[in-house]
Amino acid sequence: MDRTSLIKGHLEMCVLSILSKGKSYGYEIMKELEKHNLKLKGVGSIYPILTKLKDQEWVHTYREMTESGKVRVYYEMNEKGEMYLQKKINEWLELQQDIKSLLQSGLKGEHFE
Amino acid sequence: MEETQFLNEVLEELKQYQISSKNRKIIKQQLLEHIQECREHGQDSLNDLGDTTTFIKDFLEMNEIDLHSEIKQIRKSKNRTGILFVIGFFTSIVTYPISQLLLSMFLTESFNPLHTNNSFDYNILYQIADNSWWNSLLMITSVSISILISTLIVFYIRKVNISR
Repeated sequence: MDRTSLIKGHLEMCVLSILSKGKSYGYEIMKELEKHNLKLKGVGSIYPILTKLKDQEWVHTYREMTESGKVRVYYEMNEKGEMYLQKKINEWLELQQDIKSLLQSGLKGEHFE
Repeated sequence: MEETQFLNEVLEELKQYQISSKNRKIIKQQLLEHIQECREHGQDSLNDLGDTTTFIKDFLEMNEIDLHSEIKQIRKSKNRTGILFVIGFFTSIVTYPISQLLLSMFLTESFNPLHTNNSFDYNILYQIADNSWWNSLLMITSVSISILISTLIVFYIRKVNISR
């Protein structure tokens, strides 16, 4: 599995994590991911995720006028979203711990040989 | 121009994968907003958007749509169009004489034993009334009924197939 696929697999959690800091919009979320070295090839993944978050009612959306007079769609996480994010983070940490323990046991095995 | 081309190509491909018009409208708005944001931030939007193929692949993947089964589905639906056309054609062939028969029974004197007209030669397809304008009107009604019924049947079968 390459890095992009790994990012895609965790994109929902990453986007929710960005939104947990405050309201944001598609472009800004993408740039925030890039800041953390989580760059995706194109926008084909990010927008379906945002639509999914809205459909699942984990975020509210509303339109706001920008300074240039254009309409921007903002995504804001709600309580349901916060609960879901916490659940996902716990699952992720648990999985990470299990993988880490497996890898460490493999390394210890090498030392014994 | 290239942005418009990208948008059109994406929307056209999504349509081919039978993505609903509601979802296509949403993605169109999102892409337009993204292009606008890129312009405002002085960035090349095409760099951000990527290529059409990657976009479609990612979109389908994120919506948990299996690309291969969708291609098979599209091929099947193309075959179905021909079958639907045949079904529609035969339905109209069957409904036309039935409609003509019902109209001649209830709206003409053709089956009235008391009414005799030697010059009138009954034909279920084109001569059901001895009055020419009334006959024409009934024929038009029958044609309309048969077209309507076959269209409804075709749409119903199509809808049932899509929802499966």
